[in-house]
Amino acid sequence: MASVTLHGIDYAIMFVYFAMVLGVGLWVRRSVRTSEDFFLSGRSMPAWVSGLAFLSANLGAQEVIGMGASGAKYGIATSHFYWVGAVPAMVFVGIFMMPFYYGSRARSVPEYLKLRFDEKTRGLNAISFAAMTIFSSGVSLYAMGKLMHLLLGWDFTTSVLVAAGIVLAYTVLGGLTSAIYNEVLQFFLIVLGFAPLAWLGLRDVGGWSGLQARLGEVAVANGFQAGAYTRSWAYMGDAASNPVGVEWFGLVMGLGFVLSFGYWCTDFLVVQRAMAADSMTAARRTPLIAAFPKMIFPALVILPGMLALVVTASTNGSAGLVPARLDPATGAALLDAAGKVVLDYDLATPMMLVHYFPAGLLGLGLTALLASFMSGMAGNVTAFNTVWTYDLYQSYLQPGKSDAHYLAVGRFATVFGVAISVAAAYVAASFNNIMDFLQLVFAFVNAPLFATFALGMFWKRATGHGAFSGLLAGILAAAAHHGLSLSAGAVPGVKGGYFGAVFSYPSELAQTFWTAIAAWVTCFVVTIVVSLLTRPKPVEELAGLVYGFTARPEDRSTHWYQRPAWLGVIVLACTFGLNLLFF
Amino acid sequence: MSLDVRKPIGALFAVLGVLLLGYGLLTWGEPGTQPTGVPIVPLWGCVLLAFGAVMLWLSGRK
Repeated sequence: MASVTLHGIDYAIMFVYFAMVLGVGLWVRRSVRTSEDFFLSGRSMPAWVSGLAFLSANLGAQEVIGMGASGAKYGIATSHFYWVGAVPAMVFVGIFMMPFYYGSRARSVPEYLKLRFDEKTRGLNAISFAAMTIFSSGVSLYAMGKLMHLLLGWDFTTSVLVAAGIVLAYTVLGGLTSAIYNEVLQFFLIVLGFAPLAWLGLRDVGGWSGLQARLGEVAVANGFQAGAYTRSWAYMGDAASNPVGVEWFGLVMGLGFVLSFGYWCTDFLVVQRAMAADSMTAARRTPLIAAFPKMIFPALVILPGMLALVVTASTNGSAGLVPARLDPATGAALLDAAGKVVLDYDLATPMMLVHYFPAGLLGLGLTALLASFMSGMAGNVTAFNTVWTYDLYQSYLQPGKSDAHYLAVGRFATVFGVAISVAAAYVAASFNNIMDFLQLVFAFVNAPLFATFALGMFWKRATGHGAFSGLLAGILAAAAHHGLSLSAGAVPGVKGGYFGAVFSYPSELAQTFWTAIAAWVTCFVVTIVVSLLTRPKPVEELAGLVYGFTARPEDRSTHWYQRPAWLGVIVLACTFGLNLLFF
Repeated sequence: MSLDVRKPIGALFAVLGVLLLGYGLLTWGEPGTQPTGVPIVPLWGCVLLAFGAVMLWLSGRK
């Protein structure tokens, strides 16, 4: 595809944004004096700031580009990632889990595992998490460099180095405070940069009813009922009736319960933002405040993908604005096993930007895209430097050093983390399937972890040996299920089936959901069995860590609607309403 | 907190708003500047400017 030419105004907008994020880093630098300032923002953030940062740290490439791609591929059913997955999980972590994270005074999620269970459980989580964050950050950089090269013709190395350099500068200067402030700024930039896209696209196709009519034709052409792309629940009774290829039970259990709760309730990348809040009430409100914008994000990130399918006529194998995926060697469109053109869904949202945004607005949209990559990367880097310094360096390599020493190590870990991320971006560039592989590792590691936390926080009898063996068994169960299953059209390898295709699924998402369910159930059962066979911690060591041995959190809210429990009820009621509206 | 984050947010969007508004007015009516018939560049410039102004006003309140 031909590169887009930018105008001076587009570069000016990018320059203003880059200057502002660096300025924030420089300003915040003055307030960083201790390692707690650097890694935990001195626990000084008001709830609205930590709430928006909680959301923004997750707004990386997978969210903005990936959800647009899923919108084009699966339609409105992609909203289940929000209205069944993320939002209920955010309510759960805010109401039920934050009292243990914040109240225990643990400095990281692995450190909570050490306090609740033992050293080996912390070590397993810290090592797997540190490796995942760095690779995730590297894959984000790779995706950004590739996209900028494809869209604008920019040099891959220059794009990667400039973006990594800016993130490095503001995170090494101001630590978590700088990352959080910039994440809030990036949140507003992403919202205001993408909002005109859905509006212009909807206007073009005659509003929601016009989009329903056009996507109805696409659905029928793909062998589904007319509403399959625009109704979120109506066709979930049978896996063959909807584009996702999964029925309601697999969706609710796999995505809603295991994967989403596994990510939002246990991933230190997001939990770290809530830990930076200035009080227990603010920490509990953090994910609840984040849940409000999260509810309406489908309009911002999924809708452009759905629109991309129908805003123009399909030509040369493309579907609307979504182009065919090309063979890198020959440049010809790739075909699947059935001889159909394989679409490059990842380009759905970028193609919408190029199609609808004139000069000036295109600069704003591309800056918003860069902001999403940078906020995701900064989130990974700040989580990595904390886990590296507290949970690996201070615990195993150099315990008992001064606070200034750990602050310096944290800054060095930031430089090291960014450097390894850049290297990971080049590794990603040389492998076709590394993004699939990374997603797979996430499903293996995060899914069983939620069982460990749920049992650890709500069952006093859970033991360190139980947690460790449950986690390992869960990861192995995920690998076994994945190795014995294959999705339609996939070949054995990184997509699964390496032990033989015993189970087959209509889509990769369905396969992922059931892999996660297998991992969670195995971890849950093995943790219980091994815990019952081993000696539990004395109850006096469980204070602040386990339900029933922790004081009820004191709520200092002035108004009823600021209280976490009521906020949770309001969020869930709104989410239920959205599910009904698009049923 | 040593920095009220609403200040840099307000400043950023005010500057971006002025840039878009000015550019939109200078290029008014040129081909390709009004997709689906909407003068989106100056219009969105006004939205960003208003948002930036509100943020700055909020940060300046006692």
